[in-house]
Amino acid sequence: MAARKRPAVVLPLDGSSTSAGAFGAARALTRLAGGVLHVVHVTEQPLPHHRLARHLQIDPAEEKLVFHQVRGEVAGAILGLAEDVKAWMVVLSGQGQTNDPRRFAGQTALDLIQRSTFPVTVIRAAMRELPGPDWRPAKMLVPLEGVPLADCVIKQVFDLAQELKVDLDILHIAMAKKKPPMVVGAFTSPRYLDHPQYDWPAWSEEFLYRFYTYLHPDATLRLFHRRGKPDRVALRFAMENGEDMIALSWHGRLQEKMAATVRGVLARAEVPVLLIRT
Amino acid sequence: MRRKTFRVIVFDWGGTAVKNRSADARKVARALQDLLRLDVYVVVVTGTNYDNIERQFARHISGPCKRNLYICTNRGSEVFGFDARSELYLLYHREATDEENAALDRVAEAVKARVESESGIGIEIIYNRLNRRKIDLIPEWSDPPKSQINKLLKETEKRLREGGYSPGIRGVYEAAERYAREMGLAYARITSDVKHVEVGLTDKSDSLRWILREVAERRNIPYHDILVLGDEFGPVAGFEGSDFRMVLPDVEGITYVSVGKEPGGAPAGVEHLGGGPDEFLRVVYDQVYLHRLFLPTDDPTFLIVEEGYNPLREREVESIFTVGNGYLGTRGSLAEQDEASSPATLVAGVFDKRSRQAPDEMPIFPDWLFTRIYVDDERLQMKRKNIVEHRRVLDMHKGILFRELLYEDITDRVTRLRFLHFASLADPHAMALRVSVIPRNYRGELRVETGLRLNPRSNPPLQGVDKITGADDGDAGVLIRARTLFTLIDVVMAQRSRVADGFVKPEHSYGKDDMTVVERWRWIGDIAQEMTLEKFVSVFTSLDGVDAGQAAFAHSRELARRDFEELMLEHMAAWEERWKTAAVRITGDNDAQRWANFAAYHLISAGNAENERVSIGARALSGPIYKGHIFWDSEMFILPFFIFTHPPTARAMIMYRYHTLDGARANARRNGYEGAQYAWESTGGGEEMTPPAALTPTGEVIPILSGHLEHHITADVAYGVWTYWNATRDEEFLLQAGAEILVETARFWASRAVSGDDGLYHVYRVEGPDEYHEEVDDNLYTNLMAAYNLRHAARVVEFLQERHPEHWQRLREKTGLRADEPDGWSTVEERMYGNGQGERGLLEQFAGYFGLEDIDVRRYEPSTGALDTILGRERTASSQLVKQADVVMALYLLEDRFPPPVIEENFLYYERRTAHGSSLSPSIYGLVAARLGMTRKAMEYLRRAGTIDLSDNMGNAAGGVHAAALGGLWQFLVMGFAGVRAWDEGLLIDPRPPARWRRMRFSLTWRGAWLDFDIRRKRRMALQVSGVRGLEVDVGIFGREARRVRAGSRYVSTWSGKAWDDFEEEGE
Repeated sequence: MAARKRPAVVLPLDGSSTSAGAFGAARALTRLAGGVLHVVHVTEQPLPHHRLARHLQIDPAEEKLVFHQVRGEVAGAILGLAEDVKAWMVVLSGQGQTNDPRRFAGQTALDLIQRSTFPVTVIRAAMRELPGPDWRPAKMLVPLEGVPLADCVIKQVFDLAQELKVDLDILHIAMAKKKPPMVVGAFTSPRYLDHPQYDWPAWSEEFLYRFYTYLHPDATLRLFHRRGKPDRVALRFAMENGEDMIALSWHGRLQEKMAATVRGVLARAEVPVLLIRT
Repeated sequence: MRRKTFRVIVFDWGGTAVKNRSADARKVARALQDLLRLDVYVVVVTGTNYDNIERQFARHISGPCKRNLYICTNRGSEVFGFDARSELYLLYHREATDEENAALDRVAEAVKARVESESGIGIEIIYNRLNRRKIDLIPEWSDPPKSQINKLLKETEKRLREGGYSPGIRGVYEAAERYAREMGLAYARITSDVKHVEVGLTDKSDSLRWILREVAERRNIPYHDILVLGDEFGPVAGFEGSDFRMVLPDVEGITYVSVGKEPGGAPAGVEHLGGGPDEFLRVVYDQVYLHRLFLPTDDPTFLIVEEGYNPLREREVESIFTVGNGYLGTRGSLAEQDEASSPATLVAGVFDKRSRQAPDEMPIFPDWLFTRIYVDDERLQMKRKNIVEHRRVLDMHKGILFRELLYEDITDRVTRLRFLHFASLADPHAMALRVSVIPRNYRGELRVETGLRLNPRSNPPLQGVDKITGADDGDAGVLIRARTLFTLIDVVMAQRSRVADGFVKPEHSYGKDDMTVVERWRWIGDIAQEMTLEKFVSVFTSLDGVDAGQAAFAHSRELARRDFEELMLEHMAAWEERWKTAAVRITGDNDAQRWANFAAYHLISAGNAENERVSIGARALSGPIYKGHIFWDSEMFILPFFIFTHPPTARAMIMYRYHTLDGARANARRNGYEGAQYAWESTGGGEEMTPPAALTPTGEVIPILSGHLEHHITADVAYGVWTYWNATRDEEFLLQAGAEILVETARFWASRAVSGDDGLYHVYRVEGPDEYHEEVDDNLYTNLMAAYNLRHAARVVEFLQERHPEHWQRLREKTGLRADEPDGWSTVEERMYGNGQGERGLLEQFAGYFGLEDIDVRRYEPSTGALDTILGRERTASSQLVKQADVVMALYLLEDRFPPPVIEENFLYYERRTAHGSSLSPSIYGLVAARLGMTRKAMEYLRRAGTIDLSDNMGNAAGGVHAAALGGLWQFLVMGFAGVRAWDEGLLIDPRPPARWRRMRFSLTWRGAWLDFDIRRKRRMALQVSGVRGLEVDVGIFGREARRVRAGSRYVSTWSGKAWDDFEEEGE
């Protein structure tokens, strides 16, 4: 039997302490996945290997890290490296050297998350408590607004949950002033609750049916329902329920009026946020 | 000629399909193209060459269906076919050798020499024919029409005999036979069409044999599915007709039909129709009609089509595609199933429990569609990557679910599968499934396992008692016997399957495991070879009053003896009959028409006129999530459809309430009231089945108070009784059951209402239809309906006292009714709080409602969920947010109690505060809006009501269709847009259909008459009255007095510009 390839985690660092804030989470995720951590630094003037860790403000400790120094346009160079190592996940800090607290993420981070086809875990720089190398997530929150998740997203969520051995809390959010999605297969919060004693269980069963249709994750899956603005509801729920991560699926575009949930969550999350591109 | 569908239609061209070679064949080409499109193989057999057929016929045929066309030319020497691009291919060609050609010449010339030497006439030989020589006996008459065959015969004989050749045509024929033998062509085929005697190497029998071998046998089409038509089978001039060569003595089963004159009579085995090409065309048309009969209807508004396969939507699709007959309902699950499937067959009235204390619910019966298909041991499974094409069509007009699948497996083997199934509306215990399997590009071992499977998801489970196969008892078929856990009802399903006749004879065996019994069919399939399996299933339970095992066994055996199509025809005829009265026909709005059809389809599927012990649950028989419980939905939303379109079903539904009256009495006693208090959720016995609480996905435990507080259901049942009585005047029902229900429910209200300090009667601590506000006082709807109940109970008592004193006496004795009670009812009714508020403008939904936080739903629209889930339970309860029609329901049902301005004012007030959090709501709001002339608003509601189950972005229907919403939709159309009111004084109508509806037609039954309305918006309304001779009923325009109309007469009302004029009898 062929040996399982160790998952590659890519951590871009620019030498700032804010970007190094993602190091703990990256190490923890790499360890949990049994993978290899690839630290990538984009520079036109590569440093000698022995000076690199100090320059990037990280402590390699006893763990084996793979350092890469690449040239070129920053996001492109990082994603190129991720492509080369067939990254399982990119982990990054929301801010780097510029560290502008008025913005929910720095320009490089924005470029990376919008262009990445790999799952990206964003560590908000201003989190009250940054995950350390011993961080061990137990629960991952997946907020949904009724749009069906693409099969590939569901599969990635399940695979990641399985790798990280986390339980999944699926949070369905109903909201006012928003049209129900018109996508075929969309599944909103129930529009009609003729008799809640039957409609709620039926709705939950149907939801799980849809989630489990072809995939049987080796992870516990719990279903919740809340109402309100999805980003706020998700953040509040995460806080109240001790969620360790929030996983969001999105289209990869952060322009105005788009991805409001992603922007809102990235701006205030106190836990790592995993972005999965549909 | 026996009317049946034929799969292969073979026919002679000249004289049969057309009069002659110069006839215009476009009409027959169009008809034949229809057959080709229906996958019928059409075979032209002719003596002429291809170019002639191309010029006259084949060029008029186009499209992929042309590949089903074969043209056999040159009297058996060639066969042409086409590919999907209509490209011509020569499929078979017989070329005479030089020696054979020389021999043919010699034979023809010897015949010519013989005739000419014995006579003074000249005959000619036509040499330039493939593999044959034509000896023209009458050259001076070129191309005689077939219709003049007698004249031609006479003239030819005359020419030969008068010219000196006394043996005539017969002699020429025999001479040709003799010379052929002598000159080394013993196998020569001698034929004659009177003008010619032909010596050839092939004839039409070769054409037919090629078709049998290459078309029929290759596709496994049995001979009895082949029709051969010609015009010359019978003897002419002493020898067989040219088409007789197509009568193959060694082949049995083919149907032969002659449309020719056949002056010598048709030979045995050939049915003589006569009539020539006109009759041929009629036969073709009839075949088109018959084939279409077994396919989905042409009217797209009667079809629900699902293309492709989306496992996310599968359970919705299954609900929508339920087939049923009132006795049972079967979700439209995929026969071969996958993980996305949630198959269920539910039988009305069969309940069980999960534990002794648990409420009743419906167990799921064995899955009778269960089918597994294997190609070389690989099971075909629904994976999107394997599905090349997938189309499901529910034909609501015929009550049949059709399905077609093109499946490609990992080794690129492509298999076409066709399914259809139905639950017979003509025989409630009968179900049937047909599966056709066609390998498209491979030869391999095919296996179909089809059987009955205990449903592992059934909760409560059915206990499998016995699984029997033919291998066990030596008889064919399989049977599964099970029993409910606590109610101990025997449930038996029996199946028999067979393969359609054909050349391939599959091996048949049985299999069973813990859950399943199957019949297994195994064969080696070849490219394009179709194998059709037909399966007949019977279901009986011990509630049917029979030994369920014996009944199912015998019934399935009886079904299997019958022709599948015959069973289908009976079933379709039953649907046709129901649609005659149930259809609301709308011209100008296909969406509305489809919604109307969808509603009626599922209602018909759920209604059971034969069983008074069942009613229709909230999700009918299309899903188990409501456990089959009967709510107020039945009387207030569903019942009117049946009252006015199929009274026997309506009667059975109300009789269900009669049979649960004891349970209702017990409920009343238990709660400290008199009379009968119907359960909010009811099953077989009438006891309260509402669970005490529900767990939401927010983790919140919600107490469910409707079982304690929604007392309006008792008045709703009474309303249903009176509405049925008023519409039918079914006196036997009133005396047997209706009066007792009215009396007992009135007693309940008399004891339930409390006399207050204000001198009025109040109903405290109730819940109205607006379930956002639980435990309120004086819910207006409840009070008004209670008053209605009391009022009509008093009326029925008066009626009995006057007209049926002996019944009145019996009823009093049975119920222990005191003499003063009816007077007391009138007192309570007259002084009921809220009754008589009709003049007072805004009506308060319940005491204190106006003091709650005002709320305007428009501020929150649109939303991605029900508004109460967005606002939260507590805020909802402390606001004026209304779940569903409550006051507005009263405005609809009790319209006669309110002046129009009050209706409008209240409608507008409550509409702004209604969340429509129940599927029951949009239709009622729309109905009232339509009556108020708010057409645009009504149309918005119609879209909302029409798409509750049919919208594909909400997942609403996964657990079953919303039966009450469908009943509400029918009321919306008929009572709303058509403005029908069934009042005591008569049936009144005031149609106000939307502008785009050019025409609206529907039928209603009223006091024994059938009223067919045909409405042309703001122009003219026709009313055809039918019924027993002399029957008269009262019908009129709403707002004016009704008039007497007579059965057998037609009446017309015209639009005056502002209103409808009174009905005038046509011709008056």
